[in-house]
Amino acid sequence: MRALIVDDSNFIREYLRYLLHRMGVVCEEAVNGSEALSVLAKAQEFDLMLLDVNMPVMNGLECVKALRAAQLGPQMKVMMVTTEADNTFIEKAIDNGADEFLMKPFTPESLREKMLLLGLVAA
Amino acid sequence: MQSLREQTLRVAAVDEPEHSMDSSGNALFETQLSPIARLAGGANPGGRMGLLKTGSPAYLHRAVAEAMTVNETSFFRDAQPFELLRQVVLPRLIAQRRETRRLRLWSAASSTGQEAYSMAMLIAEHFPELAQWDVKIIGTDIAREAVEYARRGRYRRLEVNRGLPVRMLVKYLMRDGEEWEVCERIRAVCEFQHANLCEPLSQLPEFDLVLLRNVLLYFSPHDRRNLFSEVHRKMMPNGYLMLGNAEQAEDSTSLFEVEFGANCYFYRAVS
Repeated sequence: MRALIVDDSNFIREYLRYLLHRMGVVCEEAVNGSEALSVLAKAQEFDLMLLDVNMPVMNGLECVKALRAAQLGPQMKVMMVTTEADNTFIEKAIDNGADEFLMKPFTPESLREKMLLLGLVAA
Repeated sequence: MQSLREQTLRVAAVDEPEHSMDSSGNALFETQLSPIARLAGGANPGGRMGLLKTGSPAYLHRAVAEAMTVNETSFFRDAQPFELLRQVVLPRLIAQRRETRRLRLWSAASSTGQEAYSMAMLIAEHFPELAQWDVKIIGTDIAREAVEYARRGRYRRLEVNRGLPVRMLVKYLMRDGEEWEVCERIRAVCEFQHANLCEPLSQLPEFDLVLLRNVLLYFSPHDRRNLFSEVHRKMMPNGYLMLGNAEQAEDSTSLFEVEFGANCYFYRAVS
């Protein structure tokens, strides 16, 4: 399995990479939505994108909308990883093409349970 | 210390501690009991033992029992059992109970309520026709604090982050500051009561479906047989029983027939 981690925080990217590596997931990283779109345009073979919302250059909401419109990685699951948690915000992200939400702060168990919901890991 | 441990497990109504505690359990035992012993004024293990043995107050017995059981739970825990409910068990029950249009579901050892609310959300989401039926989901737990927590139906960020699909979060829970409250439509079908699974369960109705998941580790083989017998007595004919992933009703095969569906084992009560 391959995942693209998109977050402007070094710490969050490293933490997610560490947790995913333990599950046997190969990861690439991008620091904002625009960079993520460039990575996807070159290599669309990701199973999962973990996407922060508040980032410079291009935020997560714009990114998921753009990649779904361009059909970049159409089979790829997009999980928003964010402190944002208002229902209206979540509904907008779903409308834009997000599949799941993981609220910050999160635990290894909550990440794994969300991946289970997306059918990416077995129980 | 061994005798205090044995005494504690009897307070929690488990008769044979050697079957439910191992060496790692001793650390849990120490960690969980020390604060209670301090509050109760026990200066040393012997003193604590005396407090438990000689007419100690009921609140202390309750506190010890609650400390020694683990409230680990999450929404849609393990995911697959809920697929079994959706694909196999609930369709069968709906077909069988079409005349009475009544379903009673039991989340035994319901902890803080997520399992019961998950069942209610699954029904609302996939079986909308049951809105016209008499459906009740009853959660019971030995820990009174957990029962109260479940009744409130309010969960924190770390709890809604675990196992709950985001579409269900926005549909069935309302954010209120730093908590999320289960909506009235879901709460209306769920009830929570205190119950000790080692005592007669006379206050409970007969059930069409029992979820008894991740509880058996607390019980000796003898107590497990008693529990299965009591659960069977509380089940409607052709009712279903679901256990945790690693659990089996291996010593109660005369009461239940094992079946397999959606990658899970489950049990049908036989008369």
